[in-house]
Amino acid sequence: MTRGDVLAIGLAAMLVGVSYARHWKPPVTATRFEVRVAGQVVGRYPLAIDRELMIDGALGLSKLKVENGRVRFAASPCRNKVCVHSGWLSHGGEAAACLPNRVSITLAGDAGSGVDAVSF
Amino acid sequence: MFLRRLLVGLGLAALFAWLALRQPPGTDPRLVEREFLAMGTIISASLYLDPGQPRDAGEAALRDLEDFLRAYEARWSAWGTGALGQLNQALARGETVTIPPALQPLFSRAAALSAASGGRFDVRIGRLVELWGFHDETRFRSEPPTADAVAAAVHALQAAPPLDAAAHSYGPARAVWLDFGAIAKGDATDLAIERLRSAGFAHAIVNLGGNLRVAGRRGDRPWRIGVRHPRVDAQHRVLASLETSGDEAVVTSGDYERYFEFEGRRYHHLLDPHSGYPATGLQAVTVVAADGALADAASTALFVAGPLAWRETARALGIDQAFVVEADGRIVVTAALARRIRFADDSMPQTVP
Repeated sequence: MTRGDVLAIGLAAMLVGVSYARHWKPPVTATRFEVRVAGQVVGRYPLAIDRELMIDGALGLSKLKVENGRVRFAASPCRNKVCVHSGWLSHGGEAAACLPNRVSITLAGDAGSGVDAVSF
Repeated sequence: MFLRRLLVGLGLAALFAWLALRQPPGTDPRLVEREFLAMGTIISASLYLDPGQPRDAGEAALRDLEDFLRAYEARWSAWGTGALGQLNQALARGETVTIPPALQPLFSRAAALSAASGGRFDVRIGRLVELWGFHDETRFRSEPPTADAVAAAVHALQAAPPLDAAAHSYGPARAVWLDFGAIAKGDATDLAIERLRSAGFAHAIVNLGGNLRVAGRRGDRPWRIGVRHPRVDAQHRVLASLETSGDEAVVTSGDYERYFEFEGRRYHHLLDPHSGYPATGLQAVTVVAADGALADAASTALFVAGPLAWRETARALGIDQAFVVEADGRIVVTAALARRIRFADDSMPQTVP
């Protein structure tokens, strides 16, 4: 092995280490989510399929957006948009709700690896 | 040399094959869950059945719990027509009110915690909450109230009689509207866990909008609790995780829970009873304690105390496990909690005694 080989191998190993640290995520990512209106489940959807969903709530339609394994409230007919502020959800146990419109979403993932509940 | 390479290669191949092919564990038949909207938030309850415990008994217990919590909500709703709502209306008429026996224990608890927290937690805060519009999630304000209105509400609050832990009556206090919003969810988790336990379910999580109370274990492992990152983005969802030991409460108060923005400033629901304005200096506070009512009231009091006084306030309330996220994102954690909590890798928490 020449000094160049050692350097190349060293750099490659470093790259592996850096990408591992930067990109590896523990497997708590959710795989599906449930939508409820006034506590009743109205649908279960996979997070793997990008789409927009219109959910009919107490005040009108809440728009949910599913993208890259995440879901969020994109719009809702409430005043302060707490639901929209909640942003993207992607981990098991996470939840968001539009209380005025009585629409809530909850994420479910791998039962064995994630957290059982989230304090927020 | 060749053999070693072969072994390493085969080992790596086996590792990647295993990573790619491992099955996600399916749903656990001993886990029973129920979720509903009540008390102005999302409530979820989970039971982990003992071997042989019938699943439908668990489901029935959680249905019963939902009814129980709805009744609790009616009783403690400050602007409703239940017991506390009626009390508030009587106070507004200038009457001295007798505290009903069903409300007495939490009244006494709130009075004691309010005194211990130096008034940073104060259930007499209802008029101020109303002024800011945080009492009704369907009708938030979009701009702060005027400085004069805030000053008048603070003055009225300071002039009002304090709650007495030993008293069975309160008033007259025309200016006071009682709001147990900073303790009732925690108290409700305590009662819920008690109720489930007496129905024979020793392993449970009750999560009232992020106010958690945990009991027992999830089969052969402890329950795992995550704490939400106060400024979520793609990389930062869960700030910390904690394996619970037996029976305890985990409560977080944050400036992201209920807020509106006006002219680039965030106005959140954690009001400082002394200034009348949303407390500043922290993004979030998480408290771990033996009971939910204490953890709930303490998380509010610590948030209001801010970066300089939260540790001392925690001591005054008998809390030794807590962490705060300061306005710049820096995390400070007590030594007792640092020993058992796991923070996200890039968060670099500072430990204080």
